Amino acid sequence: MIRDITIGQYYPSESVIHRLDARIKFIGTIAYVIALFLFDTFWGFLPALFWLGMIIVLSDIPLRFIAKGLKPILFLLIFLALFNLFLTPGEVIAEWWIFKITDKGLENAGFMALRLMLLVIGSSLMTYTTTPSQLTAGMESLFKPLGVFKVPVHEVAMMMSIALRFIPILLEETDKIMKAQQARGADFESGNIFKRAKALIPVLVPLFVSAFRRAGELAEAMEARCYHGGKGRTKLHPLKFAARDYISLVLIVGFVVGMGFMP
Amino acid sequence: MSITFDRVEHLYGKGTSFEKMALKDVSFHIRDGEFVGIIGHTGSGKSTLIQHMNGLLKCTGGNIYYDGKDISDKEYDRKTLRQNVGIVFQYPEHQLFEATVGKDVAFGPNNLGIPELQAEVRTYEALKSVGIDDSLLDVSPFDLSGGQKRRVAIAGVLAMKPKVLVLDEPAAGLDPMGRRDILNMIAEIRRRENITVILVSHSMEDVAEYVDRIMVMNDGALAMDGTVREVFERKEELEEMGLSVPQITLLMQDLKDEGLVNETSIYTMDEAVRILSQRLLKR
Repeated sequence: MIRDITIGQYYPSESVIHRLDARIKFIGTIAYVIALFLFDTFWGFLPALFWLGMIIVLSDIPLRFIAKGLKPILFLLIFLALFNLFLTPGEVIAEWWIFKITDKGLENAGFMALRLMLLVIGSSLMTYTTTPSQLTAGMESLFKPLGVFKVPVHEVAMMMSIALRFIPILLEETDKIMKAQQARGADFESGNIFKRAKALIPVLVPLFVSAFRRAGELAEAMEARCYHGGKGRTKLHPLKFAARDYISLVLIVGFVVGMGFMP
Repeated sequence: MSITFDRVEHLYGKGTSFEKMALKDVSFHIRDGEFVGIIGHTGSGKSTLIQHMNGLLKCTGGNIYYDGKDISDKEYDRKTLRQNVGIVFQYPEHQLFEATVGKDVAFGPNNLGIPELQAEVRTYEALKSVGIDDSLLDVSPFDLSGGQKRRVAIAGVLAMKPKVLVLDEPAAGLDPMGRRDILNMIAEIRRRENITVILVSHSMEDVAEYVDRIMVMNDGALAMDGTVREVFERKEELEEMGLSVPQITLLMQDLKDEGLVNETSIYTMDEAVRILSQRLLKR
């Protein structure tokens, strides 16, 4: 079940989007999200759709995989559309019992649903095409100037990459512990919500213990290899802009400006 | 209480790109009171196999019978099955969670709905049989040593009074002394309680010393199934699977080739010591 969630997952491929500098992808995503909120008309979304389509085609990611990523927000999407559909005042175009559909409502519902979909697909494209380590390296480099204000940029980036790295390990650990407790007769599937929450204690305690143990071991292993923070640390794969990155930057600016000119 | 596997299959991640056949066409029958060793390489399907024995995993093909009844039947009482087939997972000390040793061991009996007094008696008995002193009853399990923690965790399963005890690498990560102690303890419990024991291991030495029957898993299939002698006779096949016979067997074989001893097929240290000391005394 947990494995079905594709948001935030990485989809391995060798496409040009995958090879782009993580910083460019990050800037592009931020620009895209801001643009979606700034230019909020139907026409404004046309370039966004085109832009998204172009990236999907270039990134080699199957549409089926992208559609799967929308599944977790399906409920939210329907909820949002229905509320907008029935609760927006305006000229009534259809009426049944206490429900009234207005022209404005119809417009808002479609518009909100489209915007949410564009947002989710656009931002998950970044994680589909960027490995967690590239992503944190990119963010570390982008936020480096904040170091002037004593923001521990390197430390935050390191914590982020370790946290991401440990997600699959802790998931596996949870599965193991749950099985061990089930073998001792633990029941996670029946009873009301309080009973179920209480049934999780035999899982959560060992999980925390093992997380702390692993954290201690990792800290020791890092110290044994002379880790002393970000100062003077070099990278195995330093981030470097290539021609494709400069071209992308120009395209991003072009996209935002283009969106601004739509009616 | 017998366990029967009839052409059992297990397919992981069906319909995804991670699809993997973890068990293929596994059939066997384990009789009441047997001491069985399951050996195989990492990823050979040992752990998947044992998780089918108490219904933690459901087979995707074939049938599993406990005491003649199909456990995949909708009517089948899985709670009783989990009481009857106790599984001690690898590094069982990682499952400890209660505030005291006594409470942790009583977790299983309490889940089964056993009256408090009786659960307490079971806790005492189980701790006694794994050699944990009464004085540790109210100590936090996290304050114990590694070996003690493992014993407490095993007691947690024993307190459910299983009729079949399955142990996945119970001696993993212990020093030689600790290994022997744990394995001797398991053999002793089996003798006293008269239960079926299934020992999963990749150590030929451990298995040869204790069990009567060996099942060899390879690439999800049951490659061999027979007495210790029958299985270790097929040395070349075992080596092809990346397994081997106990080192003492190899040593005794070399001594025989040199004409120093007459006996073949020696699998345990005790046997070898007996034969070699006889030889030396004769001289």
